[in-house]
Amino acid sequence: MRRIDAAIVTLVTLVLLVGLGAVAWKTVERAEGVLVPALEKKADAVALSVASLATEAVGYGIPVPRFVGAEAVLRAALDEDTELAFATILAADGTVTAEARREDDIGFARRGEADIATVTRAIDGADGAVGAVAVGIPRAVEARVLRDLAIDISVLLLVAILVALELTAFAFALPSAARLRGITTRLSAARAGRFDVPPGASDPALAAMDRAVDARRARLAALRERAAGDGGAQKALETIDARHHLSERPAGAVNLAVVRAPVFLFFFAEEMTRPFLPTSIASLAGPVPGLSPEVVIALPIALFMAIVALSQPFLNGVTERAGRGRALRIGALVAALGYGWASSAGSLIDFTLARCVTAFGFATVFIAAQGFVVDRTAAGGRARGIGLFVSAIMAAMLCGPPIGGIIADRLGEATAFQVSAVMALVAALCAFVALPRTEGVTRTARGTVRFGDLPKLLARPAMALLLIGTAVPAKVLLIGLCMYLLPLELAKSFEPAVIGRVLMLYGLAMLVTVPLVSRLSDKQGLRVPFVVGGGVAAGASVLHLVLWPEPWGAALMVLQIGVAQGLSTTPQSALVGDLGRQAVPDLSEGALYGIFRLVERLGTVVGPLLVGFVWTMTSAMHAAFVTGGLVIFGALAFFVAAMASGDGALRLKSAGRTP
Amino acid sequence: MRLTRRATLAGLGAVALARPALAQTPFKIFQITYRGETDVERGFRAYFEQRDIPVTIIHRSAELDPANVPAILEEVRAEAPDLVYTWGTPVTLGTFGRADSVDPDKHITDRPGVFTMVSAPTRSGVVPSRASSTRNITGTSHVVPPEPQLRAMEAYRPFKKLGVLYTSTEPNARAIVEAVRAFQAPMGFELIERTFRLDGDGKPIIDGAADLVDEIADEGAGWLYYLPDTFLSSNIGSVAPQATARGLPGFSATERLQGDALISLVSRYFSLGQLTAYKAEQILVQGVAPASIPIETLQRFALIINMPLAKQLSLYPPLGMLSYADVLTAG
Repeated sequence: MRRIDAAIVTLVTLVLLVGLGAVAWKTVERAEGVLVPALEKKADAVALSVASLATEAVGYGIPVPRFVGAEAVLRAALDEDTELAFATILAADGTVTAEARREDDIGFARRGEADIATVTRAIDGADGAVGAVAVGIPRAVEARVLRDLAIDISVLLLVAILVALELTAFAFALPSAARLRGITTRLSAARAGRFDVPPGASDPALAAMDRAVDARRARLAALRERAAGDGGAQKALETIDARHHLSERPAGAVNLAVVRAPVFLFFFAEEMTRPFLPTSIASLAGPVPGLSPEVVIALPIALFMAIVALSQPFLNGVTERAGRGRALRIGALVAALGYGWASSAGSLIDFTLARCVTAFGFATVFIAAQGFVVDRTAAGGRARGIGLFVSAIMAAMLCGPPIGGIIADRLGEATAFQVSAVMALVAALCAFVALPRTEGVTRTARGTVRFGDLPKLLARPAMALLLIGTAVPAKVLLIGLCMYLLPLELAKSFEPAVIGRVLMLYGLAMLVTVPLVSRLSDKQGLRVPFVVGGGVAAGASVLHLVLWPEPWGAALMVLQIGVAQGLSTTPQSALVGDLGRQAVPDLSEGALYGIFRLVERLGTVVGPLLVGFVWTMTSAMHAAFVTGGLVIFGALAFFVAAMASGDGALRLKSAGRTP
Repeated sequence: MRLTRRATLAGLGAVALARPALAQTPFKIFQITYRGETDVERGFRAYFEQRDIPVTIIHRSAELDPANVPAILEEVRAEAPDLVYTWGTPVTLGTFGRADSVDPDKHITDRPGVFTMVSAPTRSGVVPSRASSTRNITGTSHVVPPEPQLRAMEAYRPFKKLGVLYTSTEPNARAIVEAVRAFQAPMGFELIERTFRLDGDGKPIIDGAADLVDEIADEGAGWLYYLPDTFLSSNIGSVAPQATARGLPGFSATERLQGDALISLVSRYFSLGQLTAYKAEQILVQGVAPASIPIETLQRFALIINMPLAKQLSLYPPLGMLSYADVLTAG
């Protein structure tokens, strides 16, 4: 990154951190003054309602110590308001005649009296109070409510900064910013006495400057010609050239950052639905004959994934012909339509159709954006280009779930879908501003997917197990376990915001791990160990579910899956390139990866259905362990096949690229 | 006795569709009751007043004897009313006849009719099914089904044994006992049954009733169930005090016995009258054929707690029940 960019990004980050941090701190501080009395008010309302019933009973001549079924009334009050620790009825002499305590929570009832705030209301007889109703709220609840708020705000802060950085990067890529950067690079080069500035400035003034440099360059070349044979003159010319870097001319790079912001915003929209999508489906799902409720919930998710997977080969050609930028905009608009529809869907059929619409839009955006990068990068820069694209998706996986969870929590799931629709529209708008309106189709040598090649690829055990033993189970684990089973299970005791925070850990882990590993695994030729190790670690992560109380078990599991898949994903796709080229040498790289992505995506389709099926047959915990076991088994099977094959690509350093 | 009434009456206003056109001669309705005017008739009349539908009501009572009905029917034929209203099973059967043996010479067939307070319209033969009478009448029933009754008893005081004392010659009572028997296994209780003794003519007699109550108490019943049994209702004074003396709480399914039972789950007579009036309105104002109006009961019941008796028995109601029950208090 250039210095000025770095300076601006640092400045933006600092301004945001200080500004938003101050607002957040003030908010939490204010909230304490509002939330705590509100909690006590709620407790008071409960006490008052029980006391008025008790007063009525006393009015009928029932003495307080003779109340029947008072525990049930108190228990019902506690069940209605889960924040209360206890409710008691006291006789006039202060003895407790009936009480209900919450025993299921972490030591609520066992805490000392000092940790519990008590609200009391009198039971009135004909001649004054004959008893009282006392209701207790643990101070821990007050602390917890404030802590939850602080966490929500911190997540918002983090996401706001990430979004701001994305948009800043986006702004840098826009033409006006490109001009500004052209000036600064030329100025800083000039200040250092250098002339090795990349060409391609569209601004007339800059172009004039470049032409002047070109003239000097031509003059230098001419002088060199004339100085042929004159050693001293040649040496002097070399010195000038070396000092001013006159004849070095770096190749102009296509700016791919413009596609990053639309991709980020668009995936953000979809990732927002993660924490509550399964429960949304569950709330609409009625009984379907012959299918368990778990499988019914899995179906719309699997259908979405199937549309995305199966439309990819076809969409590549379509988006290329239509123009990637235009396809991306249309795809985002279609997806926005789907979100809008989903927000108002009243039946499962309605909702599923809405999701299908979004799936088409989603697949279009994905393929168009990927194609945009591939079209504009030569083989050498492609890994970096795809890396840019993938890291935008990972950033969205980090930002989307917690925000979606918070919105669903505080404003409802319908609103969250509407916000997704707006995000998709903004993504379309970004694409409209930044991506070319019309583009000359620059056909690259990107083969189409030929399914006829699949048997040839799978004929090699190592290749077959790489695809079916590691790539597919990885997606089964991600979509089936993390995006389907986990949100449903956690929703039984946690709110969407918590689920969103759990799921964001996947994006966080990937975002940190992938860049670290891609260099390491490339340099040291450790691809097989990374793929196998990552698989085993990902599969073993389900153990966290039994080791820790929820939601920590789920959080650690998701985090470990993120790290493990971050370890294996880049080496895995590099191995696909290595093995594929050997298996079917005439297969183009594009076609090879097309097949790989397609097979891999089948895992996203199978994932929810498989997990749902095992869940129906056994239990959620069993389903998690079966999935984990499958991932470990697949990784080990691949390891055995890789060792047995004696294939050089599986051991040695390889020059393979990692699209 | 004073009744603290909290529960609101079933929202009958909601079912009324269109306000009728007025300025017409009042509808003439001929009411035949079993034992004089009750809250049912008051609810019936109130409904028409509320809806501004002018009606002229002629009221006659059978004075507790169905044998008086034929004479009243002579009067009905002379008056030629727009609608005939009957109260209770005996009067209804006397007026309209059994569905399978209607005699146009004896029964009213040329005038539309509404009946009320018929506890078992199908079993007693008034109509072939609750969906339709298939003839010129429709009506309402006041009986609360057994299950909510048993649940109400269970909610107040869980029981393993339930006593019932009824009249073996009353088909209605027998039918209800049979229905309750079916709930023994699913709800996990045992029914202790006793029937009133019969004299030489097969008529029930009250002698020995106290002994029967003692037997039920001795077998460990948690409740004594007062059925809508005509003989029992008339002789409750010889049954309820003995039960109370033995610490056995009574449960009633009719409003009439709310002062004798510890709790009653009843259809409010007033509300039932309103529901019956609604059916009458459909016939008179909207011109709907009675055969196409189903026979119905109220959907909401009132739980009545007899607080003086609760004190006497030392069986106070569960606190939570006070938030939905009506409470009878002394005073």
